[in-house]
Amino acid sequence: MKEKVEEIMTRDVITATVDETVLNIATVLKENSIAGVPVVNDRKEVVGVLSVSDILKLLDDFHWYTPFFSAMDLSHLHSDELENVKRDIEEVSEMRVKDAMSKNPKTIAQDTLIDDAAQIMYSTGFNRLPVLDGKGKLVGIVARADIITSLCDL
Amino acid sequence: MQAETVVKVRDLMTTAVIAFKPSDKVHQVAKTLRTNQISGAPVIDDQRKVIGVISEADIMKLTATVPFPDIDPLNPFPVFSLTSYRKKVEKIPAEIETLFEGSVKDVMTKDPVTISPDDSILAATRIMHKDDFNRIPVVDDEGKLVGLIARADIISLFVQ
Repeated sequence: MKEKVEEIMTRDVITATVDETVLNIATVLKENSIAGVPVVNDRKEVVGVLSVSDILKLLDDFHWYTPFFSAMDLSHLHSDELENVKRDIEEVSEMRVKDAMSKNPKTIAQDTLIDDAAQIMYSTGFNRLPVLDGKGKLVGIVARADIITSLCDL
Repeated sequence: MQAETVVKVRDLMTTAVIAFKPSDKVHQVAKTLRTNQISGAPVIDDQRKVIGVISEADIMKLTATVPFPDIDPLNPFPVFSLTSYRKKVEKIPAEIETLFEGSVKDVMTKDPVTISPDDSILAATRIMHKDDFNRIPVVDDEGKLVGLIARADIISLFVQ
């Protein structure tokens, strides 16, 4: 039976760097069917995470969340409102990863027990945990799916 | 898709939706989610009406419901080790297996938020962000499943 995260983690981690754009990352997420990536510096240290949720939050910070907005309104969408939507998407697309990412990500050591990783995911609500080696460098990533697969193999 | 062509949920939703029955086993669900690289799916009855949603998060919750007598009430982030607990109480592995052999209907989130194909993408995005849902089943006037809109689909707004 597998016990440590290093036995179930993905080792070829798709990562982002701080100076890429949100559009770069959106493309990577879509092409790889993943929902988030760790952001690393040139020393392979994890400085943040950028996920679909973070991108959603950015859109929400712009014009989209208005108390007067309803499905009815949208059927009569005016061209200026559509312009706002287009502009918001363009603005978010051009943002740099360092300004869009969640900072202070939760990371775990590679000898962490799978059960403990499950508890961390449950308590924090994070869907993916970057895995670090003894020197604090990224060596893998564990997602919820990996943990569930391993628990089901009891 | 550029924003000027994207207005409604129907423009971005997935129509070939994987859905489960209330009698399906959690074990099966976990495998199906994994194979299809999705993190959750709607649960439908015989008439295709949406009665729930089951996600990886719901399955993860199962592992946290097994009672542990040693939890320190002052510890805000109780981190438990199932492995060491198992060594103390032999019965626990069987309990966990039972949980994973359980049915979808006991684990799913019931009466989920749903949306119509004619609702705006913006309304869907707002629900997802505000209510923290990853996916919203798309239903017709009778509440029958016609599609699914998820956070990952929002990415299509950026990338063609």
